[in-house]
Amino acid sequence: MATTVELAPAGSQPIPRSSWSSSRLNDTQFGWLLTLPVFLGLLAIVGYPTLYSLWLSFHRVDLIFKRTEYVGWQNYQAALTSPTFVHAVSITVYYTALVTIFALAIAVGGALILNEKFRGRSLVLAIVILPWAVSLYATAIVWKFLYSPEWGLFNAVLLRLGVIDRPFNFLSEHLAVPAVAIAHAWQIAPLGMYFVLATLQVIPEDLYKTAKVDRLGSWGRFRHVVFPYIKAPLLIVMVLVTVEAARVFDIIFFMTGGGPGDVSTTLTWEVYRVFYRNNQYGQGSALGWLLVLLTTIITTLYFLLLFWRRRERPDAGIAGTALPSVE
Amino acid sequence: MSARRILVYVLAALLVIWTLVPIYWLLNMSLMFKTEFLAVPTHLYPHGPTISNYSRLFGATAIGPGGAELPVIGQASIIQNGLRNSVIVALIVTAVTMLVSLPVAYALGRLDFRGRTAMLFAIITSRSYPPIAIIIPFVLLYSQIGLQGTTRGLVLVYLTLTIPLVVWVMTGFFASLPRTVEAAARVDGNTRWQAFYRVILPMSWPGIAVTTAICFMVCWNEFAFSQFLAAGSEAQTLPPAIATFFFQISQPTEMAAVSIIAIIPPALLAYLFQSRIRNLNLVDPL
Amino acid sequence: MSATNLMAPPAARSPESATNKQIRFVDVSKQFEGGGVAVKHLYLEIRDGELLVLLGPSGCGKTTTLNMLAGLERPTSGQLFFGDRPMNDVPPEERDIAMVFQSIALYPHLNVRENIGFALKTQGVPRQQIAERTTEVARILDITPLLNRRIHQISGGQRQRVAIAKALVRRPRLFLLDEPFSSLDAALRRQMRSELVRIHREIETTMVFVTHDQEEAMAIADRIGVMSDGELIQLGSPLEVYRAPRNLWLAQFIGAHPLNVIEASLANGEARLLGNGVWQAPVSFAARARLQTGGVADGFLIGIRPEHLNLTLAGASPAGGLPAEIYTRQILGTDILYELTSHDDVLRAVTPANQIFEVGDKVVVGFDWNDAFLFDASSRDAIA
Repeated sequence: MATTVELAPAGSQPIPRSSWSSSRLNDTQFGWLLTLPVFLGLLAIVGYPTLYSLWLSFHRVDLIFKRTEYVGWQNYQAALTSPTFVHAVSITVYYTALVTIFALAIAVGGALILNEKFRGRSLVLAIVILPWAVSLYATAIVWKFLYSPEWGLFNAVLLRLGVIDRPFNFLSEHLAVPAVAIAHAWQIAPLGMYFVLATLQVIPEDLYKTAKVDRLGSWGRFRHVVFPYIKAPLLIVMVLVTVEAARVFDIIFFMTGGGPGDVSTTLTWEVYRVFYRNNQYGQGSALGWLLVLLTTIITTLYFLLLFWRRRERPDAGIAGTALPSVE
Repeated sequence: MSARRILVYVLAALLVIWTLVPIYWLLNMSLMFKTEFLAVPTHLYPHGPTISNYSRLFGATAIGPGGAELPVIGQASIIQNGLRNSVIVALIVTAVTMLVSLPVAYALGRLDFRGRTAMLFAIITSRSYPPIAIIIPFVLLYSQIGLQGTTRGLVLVYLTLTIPLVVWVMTGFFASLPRTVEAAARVDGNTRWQAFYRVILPMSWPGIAVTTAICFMVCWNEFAFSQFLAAGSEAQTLPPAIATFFFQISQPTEMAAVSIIAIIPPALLAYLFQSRIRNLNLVDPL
Repeated sequence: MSATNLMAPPAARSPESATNKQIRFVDVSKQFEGGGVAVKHLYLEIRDGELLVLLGPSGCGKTTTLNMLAGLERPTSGQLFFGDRPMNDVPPEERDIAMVFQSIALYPHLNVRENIGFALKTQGVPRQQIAERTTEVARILDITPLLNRRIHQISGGQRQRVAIAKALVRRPRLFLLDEPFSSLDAALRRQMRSELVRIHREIETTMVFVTHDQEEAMAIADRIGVMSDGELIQLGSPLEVYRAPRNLWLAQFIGAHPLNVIEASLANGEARLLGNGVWQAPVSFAARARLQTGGVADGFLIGIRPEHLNLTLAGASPAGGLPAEIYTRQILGTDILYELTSHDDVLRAVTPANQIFEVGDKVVVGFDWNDAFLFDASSRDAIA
């Protein structure tokens, strides 16, 4: 043994042993130990209201005489067959489609711009996230002021440029839904922009070079280099935006109140109207459950998508090291 | 400079304009006296800027352009109370959420255990619930058990929003740490639990910081629950207070000032954390 | 587990003698939940103080074996012993081991000094002592100037040194190294290898080193355990493994250059080599005896390392050689690798750098039967 080293030979330290230790649990036991209390806590908060609402959806509630009466599926039937429900669903679909299209266009366009190198890029990167920090209700206020016929920016500019000669109502019957959708897209797009940008930045530089050597134009490069990479993330952003748009409430509340008339009455607004304005608790609950069903379907899609994508990337297994299962 | 370079700069400028102009307009309004604001044609920038819309929110009076004294804004006390409640609720909820969520996120991000997929699904589903659908039973329940219009009631409900969110984001963050971290920590003499709080947590500080900020923002920005569970009460947070302001009276410039105040904290957080937010995968943590 | 008690009565735990410090795998298997079997019926004794290299291609079970030593995986069946103590249920933090990972698992939130001392701090070693021991290992590994740097401020090679220092400072009973050098460049890798060998000589602690790089294994090992498909194929010194590989796969796996594999049969005391029997060569007596014992005279395989083929210019050729032509030439520095063609067959030969042929030269190929490996054509096992 060299004289310079005084490292003791092996195994000389006493080994402390505790009677109970988290190490004696296997992955499943430890996993449940960490997660279950929180899950039960959340369930305790949400559980009763949820069951109560389910119960309500099968009853007619008479507020004046404080009576409830079991009516079976009648609330659901009434909801599903009422013309206002059909209208609300169609508005929801219309609105959701618009928000999704606008938001994806902004997200992809913005990401492509931010993927270029230019002076001031880091500042622009920091600025574009701003709308995401603005709450939906504040977004609604902001855009209501932009659209306002009396003092809105858009009217001010258009009047000055002489495009129009008297104030224009952006939140009129025909334009209300797209106008609100643009406001929503403004708020929601930055997150997608960051996500798409992150994907763009992993595209290998050599692939662009190859595309240039192969004489692909800008469109060709987008189609054959960029698009294959952003296809999956784009789909995920799309589903996410879809869910967000389908559950919209704050923006409608502040910007249109479901109007003019009922042109912007989405499903969420319909629930609010039936429940709060008309005090039809049973039918309101039934509508609420239909809404939950709708968003759950979209979310399930989202979830499956994430898992499907994970399988596409075999390298991205679960990160945790397999730890000992000591029974 | 090539045509392409010019195009890039033009497009980047458009992106900035698109992002900032709406907020600029709000700021513009908030810095005008009402008389200037009502001018025709509308002014595109304040010719006689004033901070009176802000100062009058916090108990001061101001001298208007014509020399007339402008009183304290009538809703000032409601707004102040809302601000205070927003801060309190957001701080409490954020603290509790972070404490409770991190172990859950750790388990979901790094342990391959039976039931994990189901839990992830439960979380993502709860994240997508339209608040309006879940609010109905909460309103009925809260009025029965006396939680309607209380801070406690709001905190409880907010936890059901923030915990799934934080768990979702931090699950992704924990999963992105190198695979061998726990193994190294264990071999270094730590139990499973010690490996989590002695090694994983300190390592994850950047992710935890940004997630805390996001959690705070979500509470701060929440409108629907506060509107239905606390509007008009002592516990009402800023957003419903703003709603009252927005719908009841026609004071657009003062309204704009309040909105700017509501936007500043989350905007500041987003600006501070923007590079981390970019690195954090908020959309697909799996 | 019942087998445990039969093999190591815990009552009989004597003060640790040399033999008691052995580490033993007794019929250990590891099956993953997905159904894959990573390790099959492993019997392995690790001698006290040796540097054992577990070598094999990826997925052969070597890392799983290492993880079981660390306590990071639990054997599905069988028992692992440290001395007389059954270890299956002992978690890693109670095993007194140190481990160096391929990914160089250093904690990014700690600086170099804190990383090195982390495990000692966990064990509750006094601060003063931690400082002393840290200073000492830093000197051994020549990283004293780096002690106050952050992890992201030092290079890959430096990180690997820190990782080794972190393991070394523990004075553990067992060192585990999981492909620690695979992320380093070739020159650095070679340097770290010789440092590791030096450190091992100095500290005399048992080390288990996992790698897929046979050159690395040969360079550092006291003994090599070659694994394939969850099984331990051969265990022996580097020279044993190089000179007497147990089967064709192992012969091909070990060695700097690809093995020549030649189909052969015996006829009239001569060997007919290559597919169509174009190469007729006299067989040494010893080889013939081995083949007859093995009962495979009419069809077997010969494995010859390129460095064991002799090349001579045609004309001055000894009898029994194969006429061939130089097809390609790669100058490797200390030696030269040739590709030879003869009829439809291709052989590879390595000669010292001073024996130079030109592409197109006609040569005669020969070999010494003592250097040839003989394999059963169907089982592909070595014929003893």
